[in-house]
Amino acid sequence: MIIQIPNPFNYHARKDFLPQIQENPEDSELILDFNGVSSLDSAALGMLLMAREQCKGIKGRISLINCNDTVKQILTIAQFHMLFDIS
Amino acid sequence: MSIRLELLPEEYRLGHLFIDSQHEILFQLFRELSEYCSNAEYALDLEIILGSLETYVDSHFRYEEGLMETSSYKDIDAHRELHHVLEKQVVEKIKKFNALSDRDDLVGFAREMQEFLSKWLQDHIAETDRKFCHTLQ
Repeated sequence: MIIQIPNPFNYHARKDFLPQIQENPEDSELILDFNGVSSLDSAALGMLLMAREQCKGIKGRISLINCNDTVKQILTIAQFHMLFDIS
Repeated sequence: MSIRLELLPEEYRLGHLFIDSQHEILFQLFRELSEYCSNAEYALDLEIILGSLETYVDSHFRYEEGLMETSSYKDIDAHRELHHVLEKQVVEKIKKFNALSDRDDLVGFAREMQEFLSKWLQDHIAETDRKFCHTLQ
């Protein structure tokens, strides 16, 4: 399943984003597409952590794709490069 | 490039971009617990919040400890021990959560977790981490 991440990715995206994660079929890869995303805040980072946790529950994998340099830097600051496949 | 620190109150900001940004994620999990307490029906499952906290703790503490090693921080052993205590407390909280059953207990537990994180922010971040970050400046 591929989910397009909204821009900006922040707390306001929470109500739409988190239910979508729960719809990911069991054992399937979840791909979060950051194409067009230029900013994200700590609320978004918290949501990513929780998405990862939800995927762990359904034994799925999670990948973050099409991240621009800014997004990659923010993910690195949060040490999320240790937790996610980022490209 | 910048990451906006919008949630973290001023008294918890330590002037180190990486550490402050990571602490803000903890504050975000604190906020998720508040959502749970105010409306558990629509809030994210407590299990997800706790699992996220466990992942965060491991990732964040290892980052800080790595920074302490590279900067030859003199109080690294004491600070690492405090991390160890917090990690054990998180594990104990999760064990306690797993033993709970009804919804009233869950909301009460979420409040207990809020108090735990609040104390963490006040005692560990605002004081212990501040001492370490001061040595980096």
